[in-house]
Amino acid sequence: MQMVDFKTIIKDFPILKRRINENKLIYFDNAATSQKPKVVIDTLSNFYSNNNANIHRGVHTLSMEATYLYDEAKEKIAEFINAPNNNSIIFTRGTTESLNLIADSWGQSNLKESDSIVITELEHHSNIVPWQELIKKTKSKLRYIPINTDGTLNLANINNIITKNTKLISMTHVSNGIGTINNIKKIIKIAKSVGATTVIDAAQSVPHMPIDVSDLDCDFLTFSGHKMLAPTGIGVLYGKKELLESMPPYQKGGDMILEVTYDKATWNEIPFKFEAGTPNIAGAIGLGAATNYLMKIGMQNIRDHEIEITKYAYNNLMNVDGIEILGPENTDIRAGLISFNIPNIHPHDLGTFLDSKGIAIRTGHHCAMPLIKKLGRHSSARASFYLYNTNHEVDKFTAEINNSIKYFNNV
Amino acid sequence: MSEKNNLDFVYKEEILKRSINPGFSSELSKVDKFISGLNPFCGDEVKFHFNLSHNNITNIYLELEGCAIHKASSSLLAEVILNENINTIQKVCDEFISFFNTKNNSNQKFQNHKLQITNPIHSVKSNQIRIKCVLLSWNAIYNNLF
Repeated sequence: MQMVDFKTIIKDFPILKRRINENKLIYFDNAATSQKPKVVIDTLSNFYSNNNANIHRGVHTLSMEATYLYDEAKEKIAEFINAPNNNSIIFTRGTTESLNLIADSWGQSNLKESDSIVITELEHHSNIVPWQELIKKTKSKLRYIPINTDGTLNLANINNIITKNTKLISMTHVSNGIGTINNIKKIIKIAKSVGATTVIDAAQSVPHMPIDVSDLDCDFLTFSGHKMLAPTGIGVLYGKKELLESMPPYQKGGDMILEVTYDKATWNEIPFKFEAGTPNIAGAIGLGAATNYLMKIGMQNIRDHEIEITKYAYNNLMNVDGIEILGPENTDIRAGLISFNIPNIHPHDLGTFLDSKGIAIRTGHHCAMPLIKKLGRHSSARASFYLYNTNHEVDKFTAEINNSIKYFNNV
Repeated sequence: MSEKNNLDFVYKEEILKRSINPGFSSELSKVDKFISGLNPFCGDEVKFHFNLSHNNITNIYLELEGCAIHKASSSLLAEVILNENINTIQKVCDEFISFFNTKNNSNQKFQNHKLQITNPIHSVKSNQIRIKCVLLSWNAIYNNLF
């Protein structure tokens, strides 16, 4: 494997030169969104400066160039997650839209009253609410795989939860709230044994570790561009070709039709059937550039870097007086994020304190309200790492947490 | 977007002290009016239990979950509205909420003199994102008491 000097990577990200409140920016809010390397910013600027046009419909040079760049981005993403077919990659606005697309299109045409959907207690709201709404329409049931106190899945009764009535299992690969990495391969295998369709919310894993959809053998996988160095407003739904072909369209309009008369319409083939209207062309091309950048560094290198920094941060934070860290300790099953609480300091106040020192973290329930409540909390502070973060930044972060304890307790 | 974030400017000592001891902690034997508020983005929560007599608030029990600014602001609100008529409270809440929602009025004098006790929390106006912490309870009362 190619060696990467992660210390030099920071130079690729212009925003990381910024000073916030007279301090050098330390950006530890990567689970919310990632920063963008210059190559992605330049790709967007170049596209709008030189190639901008609509795609798949014009015969002029700019349209052909834009179409080529858009399709090339799709090819790059298929290669990135080892999808067997470029047409299995649907561009969406992000993970949320990808999951809603599955719920609306696959869900409404495949579920009946006796069926159940299985999700886990770890999910982001975007992998709960679409299913809650779907079961209202289909009268099917929603069941949860519970968690243990350390935030890992409790599979003791899994055969009573995933049954012959289970038609869909939708689960996160990595918990955005507490960082647990789920054994999705094991769950996918169980799902297949009962003939259930599988959806993997990979919003927090695709940006940070190697993902191979062919090896996982999942039916659908969703992720967002903005969490993997790409622009906001672009994301991906991967689906097995035969499933996507069998599903009705999600939205109707231009580009997704084969033929329209005043009476009716027929649908275009995949992926066009699911990309109605003018898509986020620049965003898709930006996502292609981000994917290229990540592939050059190597996803295993990025994962190894994040394991190192997460172990370092975990051990440092454990020395903070009274700290409570949510989620598993073992970095084999913890991604590069740490959710925690400091006694007598609300996460918002800690977040404002750290911001005054130039450190950006997330505070609140992280769009995983049921999970945080299940763990007996109203909110938590969350530091999440990426390829440009360093142990040196963790040192400053830990020191400032200790300073916050003095600040808020010296009243 | 304000770059200004002097900690001591936002967390004045009185605010921190009040957040630790917001007061109004005695449960009521009977409750005439109950009002709650929740910020779904951050999980901050407030529960007001009131005794009312002839439309005057005669007693308050306050349950709070959330950050220092939310707790201090809720405590200040309770102090302002205790022993006041609900019609006066409507005007007071309106005045306070308008102050935080209007730009460039930092030196504004309040018509209701009781609002002067809220002075220490006015500097939170400089931190746009935390204004919602100040206003959660005020909005809950303004929208539900009448």
